[in-house]
Amino acid sequence: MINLRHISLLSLLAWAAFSCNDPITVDANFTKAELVVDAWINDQPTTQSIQLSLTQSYFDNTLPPAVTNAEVVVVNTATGEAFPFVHQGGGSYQWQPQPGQVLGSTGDVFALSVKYDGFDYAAQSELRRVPPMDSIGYETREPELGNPAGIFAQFYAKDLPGVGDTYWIKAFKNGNFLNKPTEMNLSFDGTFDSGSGTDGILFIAPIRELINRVPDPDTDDNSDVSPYAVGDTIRVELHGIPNDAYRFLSIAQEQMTNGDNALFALPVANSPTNIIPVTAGAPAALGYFSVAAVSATEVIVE
Amino acid sequence: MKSTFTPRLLALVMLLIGGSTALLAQQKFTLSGYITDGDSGETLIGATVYVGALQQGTTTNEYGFYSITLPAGTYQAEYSYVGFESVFRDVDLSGNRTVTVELGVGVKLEEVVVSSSAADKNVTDLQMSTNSLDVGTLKKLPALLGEVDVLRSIQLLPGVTTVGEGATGFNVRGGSIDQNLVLLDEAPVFNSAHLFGFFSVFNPDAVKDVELFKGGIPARYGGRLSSILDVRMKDGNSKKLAVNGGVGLIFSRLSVEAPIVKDKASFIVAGRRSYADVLAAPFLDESLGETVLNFYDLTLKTNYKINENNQLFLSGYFGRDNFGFGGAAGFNWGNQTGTLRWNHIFSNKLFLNTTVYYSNYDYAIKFGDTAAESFDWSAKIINTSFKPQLTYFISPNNVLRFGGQLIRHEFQPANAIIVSNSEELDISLDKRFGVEGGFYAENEQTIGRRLQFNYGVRWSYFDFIGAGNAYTFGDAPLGFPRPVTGVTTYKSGESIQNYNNWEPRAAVRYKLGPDNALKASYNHTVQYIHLLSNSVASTPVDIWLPSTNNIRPQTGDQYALGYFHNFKDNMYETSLEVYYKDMKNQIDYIDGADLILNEFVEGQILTGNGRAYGAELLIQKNKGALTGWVSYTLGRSERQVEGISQGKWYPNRFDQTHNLSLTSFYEISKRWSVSAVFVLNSGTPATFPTSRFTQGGYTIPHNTGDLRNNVRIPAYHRLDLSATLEGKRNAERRWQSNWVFSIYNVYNRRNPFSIYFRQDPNRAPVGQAVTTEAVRFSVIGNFIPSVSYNFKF
Repeated sequence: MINLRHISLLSLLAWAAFSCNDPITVDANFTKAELVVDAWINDQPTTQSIQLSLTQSYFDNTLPPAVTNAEVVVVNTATGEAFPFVHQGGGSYQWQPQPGQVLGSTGDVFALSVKYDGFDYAAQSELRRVPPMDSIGYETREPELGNPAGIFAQFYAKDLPGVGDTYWIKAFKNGNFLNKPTEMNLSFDGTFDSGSGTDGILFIAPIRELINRVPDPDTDDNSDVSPYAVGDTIRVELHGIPNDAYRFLSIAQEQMTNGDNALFALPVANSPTNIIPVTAGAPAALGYFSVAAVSATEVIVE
Repeated sequence: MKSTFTPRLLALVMLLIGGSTALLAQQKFTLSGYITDGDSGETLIGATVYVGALQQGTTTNEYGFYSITLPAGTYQAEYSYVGFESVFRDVDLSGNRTVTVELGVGVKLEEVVVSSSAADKNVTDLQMSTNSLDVGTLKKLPALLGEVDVLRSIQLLPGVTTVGEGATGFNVRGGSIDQNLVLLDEAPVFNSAHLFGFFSVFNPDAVKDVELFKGGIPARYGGRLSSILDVRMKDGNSKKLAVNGGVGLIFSRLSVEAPIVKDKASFIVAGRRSYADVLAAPFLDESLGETVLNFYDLTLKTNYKINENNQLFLSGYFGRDNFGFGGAAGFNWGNQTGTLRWNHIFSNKLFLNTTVYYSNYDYAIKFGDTAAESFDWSAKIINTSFKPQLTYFISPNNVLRFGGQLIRHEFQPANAIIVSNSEELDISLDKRFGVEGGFYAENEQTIGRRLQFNYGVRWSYFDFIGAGNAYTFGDAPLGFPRPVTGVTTYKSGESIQNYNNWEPRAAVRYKLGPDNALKASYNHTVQYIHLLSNSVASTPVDIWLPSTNNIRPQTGDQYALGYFHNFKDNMYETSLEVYYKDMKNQIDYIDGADLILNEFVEGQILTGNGRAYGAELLIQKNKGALTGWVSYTLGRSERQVEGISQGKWYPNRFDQTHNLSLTSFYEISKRWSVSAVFVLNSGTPATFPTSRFTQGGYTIPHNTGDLRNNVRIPAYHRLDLSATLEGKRNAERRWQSNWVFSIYNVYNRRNPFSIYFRQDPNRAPVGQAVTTEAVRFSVIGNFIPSVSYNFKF
């Protein structure tokens, strides 16, 4: 429910006078590149794409090496329909639907198969349900709690009745996905985590409001700047994803932002992949295959 | 449930006690009483009584009481305590005698470094793996920001480490922080930290004695696996009004102690308050609103001597840390403890202490202050206990201790309300209850000049009871949360799951010569309550859980062997100890475990084995202008848990191979004294990512091989200096004062607390790679000078 980060932020304030953070060089001990399957597709009648790449050393600050010679197919096991994903360059494998065509409907189980370097990999994902998106609201606010005066937005939607729904809320400002780790917006039954016993509620405020971008500390888009301005387009997509996909993303987020936890850092952990090597002797692969149900809404700030 | 005890051992105990009693043929009488500090009336713990003619002696117990039974006759008894001049009394032991002695009226010798009540205690005392710290010594150590601190100071002793500077708690012989039982006048303190671990909750002005048991834990202590930190408060000056105070950079302190009825009743009140908020105010952003950042504690104690045979003590502690930003966010935590003790002397040989205590640790967090959106969470851990303890001084060679304890545990993990869009949601978790009980008997026995034993057993019991729900969990792939498969609701007081254990304890000392001895010990310990924390340092948001139908009690076995040798008439004390510890049912967590506000948290817990072993060396110089000690520990602490690090043994996050500290004090003149501390520790283990990969627009770190804690962060070393200037003494005036100047981290080293990995917090331009880097995080990145002023009258 409450994030560890909230506590550590308070403690950092207490320690700020003495603590320091210095970038240093350490050895990543990167030995071999592994296959990465980035397959987050959805039930929308739009181009669906799956990215294949290789891991790189943690300190290699370039785009990851693309995997261009693989075969990628998604099968809807409920209907038997196969959807070939064709390489379109740069490691991006795409499926282009006919007008109105979608991969399937709620409850369908999809199978992904990837053939790479002579090895077969497979994964499965069930298309979960998603509640409708109600609306996006925005308002002008006075400065508060470190936030500047400006236009702040929130989305409104209600978790579906029934325990165990997991969501990934993706926000786009003027068409650009808000992809900083601190902006990753996940929800379990309307709150942050499982086990709090909530159900069917309006998404709680911190989740509704995370569609406001997190300011940069060192660029012009800093904390003195309003997250939205008149004329901006705000798009919010609510993705209903499987529980294990939620777990994959939430561990990823925890790890990407672990440095903020300072004294209270969590153990380093890997996001558990659902990509299984099928061929005997195939090296392990990373990444995730998820087919999400999506509802979305969009607004232009006036 | 499981028992490692055999009835044969009990028979042996009975035989040994019975056997030694039978030896008492000749007519004997008992000399008993209290030994106190003549200036303040404080009882002295561990002071000695020695009858030279018989070469027999004893020491006072935790309440300053002694009892020694000798053949009828006239003797000269020597009463002594380090730092005081000995007092000799002629005693005509033609009947039982009560002799209460005040030591050192008006005269006080130079206090020694690490206190030991008898000059040769290091060698003669049966107890090994124990250190006590004298408050006078504590006050001379260079301290962070000039604040004398009990918990920071014990980290200079062998076998005591911490995961890093500023972390809450401490690790003893490779045990985790929740395996230490921290007692303040016998009441457990669940979170001993102020300011997230910077300082501890013990006000040095109110502390009388600090003792740490790392091994050979006697049967009278139970409930935790690794150590007992027994902090005892002053009783309050029963002779005259005494005021102590100080002004430092962090706290201001004031304590007042005085007799209520001279020599019969007295009290002490000691308080501290920080003013960090006052100092920080100019630097804080106005939009944060009215910022609250403070902590305080209040320690109280009073005692009343009803008559020669009955005395009552009432003590309490109240402390709190407050953080708040206007009405919009707040966080506070604190402990409250209360202890009532009754000392009763049944006869010169039989001493009873009965303790009743209450301990409550609570914290609260809130966000949002509007009627439409808010979040409020508070949690509590409440303990109430009744503990009678008897000491039977059978003979100088035989002291029998027995008693019991009953504890009621109440866990309130969350009383939490979310208000979202004006709708109120109660997401509180069930309270959990437990009853812990125990009985113990231990016998301290001396056989001849060389051999001394302490053997005993503790029987402990835990009942996880209603009202509440008990959950059962199904199977899940390794590393995944186990799903709930069943819920059973229990009525109030109904037993859900119970455990009981025999905990044998034993220690032996064999004197090789007048100034050296061998000691060995074994203890089996059981812990029924567990702290859930998977972060490097524990947060004030402590989640404690009882043993349940899903979580078994932790158990530990420790074996220790030591050699103790004093040189030059006890000027130098040395000890070398080795230990091995084997621990079962150690708690760990699945990756990404959600421990907070999770009703089904038991489904995310993994259990495994722990082991720790090492060697500890301590060399002390107790006399002369230059005093001090060198402490060195070579250690390893590991665990093995299915589902973590491929199921292989891996080092704990707080494991330190080498831990060296040098502490020294030098008396320059009557007015000036200086002290220095140098510490050098191996870096603690860490896990580094090897690679990164992209997923859904994010760049995620990855550790190929999934091994935990397989790299070490750089070593830690630091030098601290301090100088004390005593104010001019004026015989006419009672006012005494001193200035303490200290520098922490003298050579300005940025010791790493951790190395973490992060992405550029600025947004990467579309289509460009994210920048990732490694960052060294130092809790204290500079040298910190400080000055404080202390006074007393």
